Amino acid sequence: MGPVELVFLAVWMVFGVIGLVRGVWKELGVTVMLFIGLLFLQLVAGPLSKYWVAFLGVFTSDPNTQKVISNMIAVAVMLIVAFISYQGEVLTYPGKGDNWFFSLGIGLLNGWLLAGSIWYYFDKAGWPGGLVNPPFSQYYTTMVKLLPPAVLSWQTLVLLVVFMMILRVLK
Amino acid sequence: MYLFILLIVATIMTIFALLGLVRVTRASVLLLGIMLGWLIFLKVFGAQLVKFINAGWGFIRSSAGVSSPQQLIDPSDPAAFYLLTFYFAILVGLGLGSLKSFRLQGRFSFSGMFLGLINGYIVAAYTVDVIFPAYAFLPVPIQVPGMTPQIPPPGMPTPAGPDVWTQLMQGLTNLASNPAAPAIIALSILVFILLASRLSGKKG
Repeated sequence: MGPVELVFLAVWMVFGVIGLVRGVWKELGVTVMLFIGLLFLQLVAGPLSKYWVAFLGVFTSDPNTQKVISNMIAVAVMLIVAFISYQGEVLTYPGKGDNWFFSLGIGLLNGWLLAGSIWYYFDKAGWPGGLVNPPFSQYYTTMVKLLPPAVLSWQTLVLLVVFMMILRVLK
Repeated sequence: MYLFILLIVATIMTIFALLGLVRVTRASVLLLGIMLGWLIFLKVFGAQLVKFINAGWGFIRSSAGVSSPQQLIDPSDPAAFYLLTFYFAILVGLGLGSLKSFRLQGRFSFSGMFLGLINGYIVAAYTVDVIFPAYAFLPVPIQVPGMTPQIPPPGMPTPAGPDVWTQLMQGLTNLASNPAAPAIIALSILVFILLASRLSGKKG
């Protein structure tokens, strides 16, 4: 297991603990925001990619540079969304009481969504900066296939966001 | 190698035992019932379930104008799909076990812990069967065709082949490469969030 995988697992565990401390209701609000952030990025990478590539073409014509910039912007978007979600009162689900099992579970889900997305976009960008270099471990290549952007298509994310909004509205 | 498998089994059993310890016994009984019920369902209707899903997938593909008859689940090797659905059933069982009506009044439930050990063993045995088919030496309560391979007797020399880490990663890659995996992961997230929002406490 390489350093990337260890960092990911450590961050994932930290988010589980954060979930336990903050409670399920606040964590659900973060989940929605992360779903929305990921949906935006999946739309940009999918149906809206031609517009995005055209926009990037204004700054650089090199496809490799465009790929790196695009993925680094995706990392920044996820970090900003996470910062806003955890720092402010963005979307808190109206609930009382707590349950450690679900708090831990939603915390881990948020950790997977955030840390997993960042790992995925760094991997797609080819780890700029030279800190991480191939060859990667088998664990790495397996896990990359199970990260959120690899698993959740934009259609699935639309369903999840709508579902979360319905849950928020329903009393 | 067998030692490593036993270590995995012990870890899973410990986790489920701890879960059983902090809940009422009925929660562990419920989980056991759901797991066994789902395994019996897979044993009896597993092949039909695969056929049904493949037929539905074929219909969706033909409706979308895709002509190639690609199957969502390989009927000759449904083990990974069965294991994913088994995990999904476990998730549902764990979620239902977190209901307020199953909340423990006292400090610990030792009968729940004992049942948790059994639950953990069942989960571990089927996981080993699918991810390490060459080392499927643990007896399972229900033989599911396509999921539980031929069992070599305990004490047999380690079969020649890739090392345990390679096998584990190969097993996970097979699970990740299964076309049904994204749908099942998304459905699991959805059900977990639904249970979390409905069962975590009173809405304010």
